Amino acid sequence: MGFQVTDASGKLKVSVVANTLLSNSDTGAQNNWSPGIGDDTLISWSGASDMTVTGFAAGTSGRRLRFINTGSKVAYFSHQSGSSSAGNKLRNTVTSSSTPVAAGGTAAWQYDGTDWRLVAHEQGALISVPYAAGNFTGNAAMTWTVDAGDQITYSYAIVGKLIFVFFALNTTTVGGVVDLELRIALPNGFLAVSTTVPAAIRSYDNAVDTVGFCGTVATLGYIRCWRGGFSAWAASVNNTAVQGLLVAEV
Amino acid sequence: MSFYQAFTSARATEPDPGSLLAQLRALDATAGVQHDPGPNYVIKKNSAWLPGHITAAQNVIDTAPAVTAQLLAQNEIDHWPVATKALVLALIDQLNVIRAALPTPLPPITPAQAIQAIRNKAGTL
Repeated sequence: MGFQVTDASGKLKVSVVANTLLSNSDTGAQNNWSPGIGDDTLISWSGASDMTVTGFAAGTSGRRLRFINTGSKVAYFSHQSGSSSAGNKLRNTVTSSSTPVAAGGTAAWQYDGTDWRLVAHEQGALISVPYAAGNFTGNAAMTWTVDAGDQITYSYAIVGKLIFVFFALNTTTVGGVVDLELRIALPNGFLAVSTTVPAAIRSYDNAVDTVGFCGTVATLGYIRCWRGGFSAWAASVNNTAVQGLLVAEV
Repeated sequence: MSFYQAFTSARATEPDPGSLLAQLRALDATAGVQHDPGPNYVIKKNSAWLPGHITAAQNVIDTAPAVTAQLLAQNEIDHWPVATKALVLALIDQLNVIRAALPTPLPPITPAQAIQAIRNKAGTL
């Protein structure tokens, strides 16, 4: 508990808050999370598996909560989740999906009387996306098969409202009715805010090595990759690759 | 099914990527190459790796010709975009008109002959 002293005009003269230091290892879904939050709390978290926090309990105006990930798993913090009660919800910078704090990362929220408002965030380590075949598709009737061993790099970081996605997908297979776009899911369910100006990537299209482009589409959850020249990808067996870095607002 | 096999090569030069792929695909038409400059290679194919396959692929990796400007140019010619092919072949068409109109007409140059001649020239520069 803390207390404040104000003068006759209401100006703050003295403010004393108690510091609370917590170690925590909760995992899984945490609704209305209540690890023992005080007026000024630092939580050192090291869960054995990932955690998703949808809201914090015990919000009072001005309360500060700082979170540091001292472990190796990822803590995700949901924006305005319906799984936590009104008054306990988080208001994050990124709104289309949860904000991650990976190994070595930190985040801080302050209660504004309505929500816990994110006031600082540093993700820490890049987050590698686990392989899932469904993360990779072709547009229209084109098929794109990316096997687990083809996913050399697929990782991301959130910085402010921006996502940085690093990808290197080698020896992949293109089939069906060939078309223009090989699509990579934006990690963690993020949705692009805008249709971005294309960024350069390496497009290796059935042995044709060119500079291609990638970008996002407003409100949609994928990166679209074009080969150089914006023509259709060639059908190939284990002979198509895309490598690059996408930066987009999410 | 996909099968991956890691290789290390002591070769002192980088292999020509087009030649490396072509030679590996001669061993298995589904072969794909994962390689950045350096000694490490991963080859993917759609059937299981047997000892003979590994030996043959290792040999290809170790002995594929070193990358040169000439080989890279030939690989680029092999994959010319339509616009470049159209430019060359339209000129060949006009050349063939002249060849046919000579007092002693010459046979036409086929598109394949024209491309091969350019490819050969690139190899000599």
